[in-house]
Amino acid sequence: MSKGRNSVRSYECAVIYQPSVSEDGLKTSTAKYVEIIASGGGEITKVETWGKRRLAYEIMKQPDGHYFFYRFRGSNQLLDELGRHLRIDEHVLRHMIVRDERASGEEPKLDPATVEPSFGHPEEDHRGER
Amino acid sequence: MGRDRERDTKKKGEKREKRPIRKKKCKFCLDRVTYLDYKDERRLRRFMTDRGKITPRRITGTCAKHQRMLAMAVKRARLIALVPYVREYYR
Repeated sequence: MSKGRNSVRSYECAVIYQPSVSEDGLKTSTAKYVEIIASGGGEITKVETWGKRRLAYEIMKQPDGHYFFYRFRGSNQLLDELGRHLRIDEHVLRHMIVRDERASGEEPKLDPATVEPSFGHPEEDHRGER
Repeated sequence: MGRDRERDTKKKGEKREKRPIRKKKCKFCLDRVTYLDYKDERRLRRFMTDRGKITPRRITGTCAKHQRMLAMAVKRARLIALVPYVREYYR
C-alpha cells in the first residue's frame, strides 16, 4: 500500500439504514453514495448488503437496521465529503468508514452506473486469513 | 476407605503434587490470523464476556499483538451495533 499525504487508499464504509426505508429507497440511496464516491475521484470495488438485521442495541429507538458495506479506493478529501453526506442523511442510522487493510489496491473497479449490492455474510469474508 | 487413607497421608505436611503449568497458546497465532475483521461477529463474541466486555488476555491466552487487533475489531463492531457495549441483566 502506498503511503503519503494525498495518496489513494482502500476504505470500507459501513452504513446502517433506518428499518423503515423501502427497497427502492435503499437502491436510490446506494446509487447516491456510489455517485458521490465516483464523482469524488473514487473507485468502487464492492457493494455488499446483509439485509435487515437486528442491532445489538437500539439506535435512535430502532431495534433493526439495513446493513450496507461499500468498499472503494479514494483520497482523504473524498472521505470528508462522503462522511458529510452520511451525517446529513436521515435514512442513515449510523455509518463508519475504516481503512480496508486487506485490500491489495488492485481489485477491479466497478461501473458506478450499474453497481448492484451483493448479498453476503461476515463468515464468508476470509481475506487475509491463514 | 482406601481413598481416605490417601488423603490423610497428604495432609501430613507433604507437598502437593506439582503439575506443570501449561501455557495457553494464542488462538489467533495458531490460526495464523493477520487481520481480524470487525464484521466477524461470531468470532469476536467468543472473546467477549456475556456482559459484552472484552475477555482479558490472562484468561484467553491471546498474545499481545492479537489482543490489540481483537480490541480494535470489537470496538468497531460495537460502533456499528454488531456486538453490545453493555448488556444489562434484570435482577
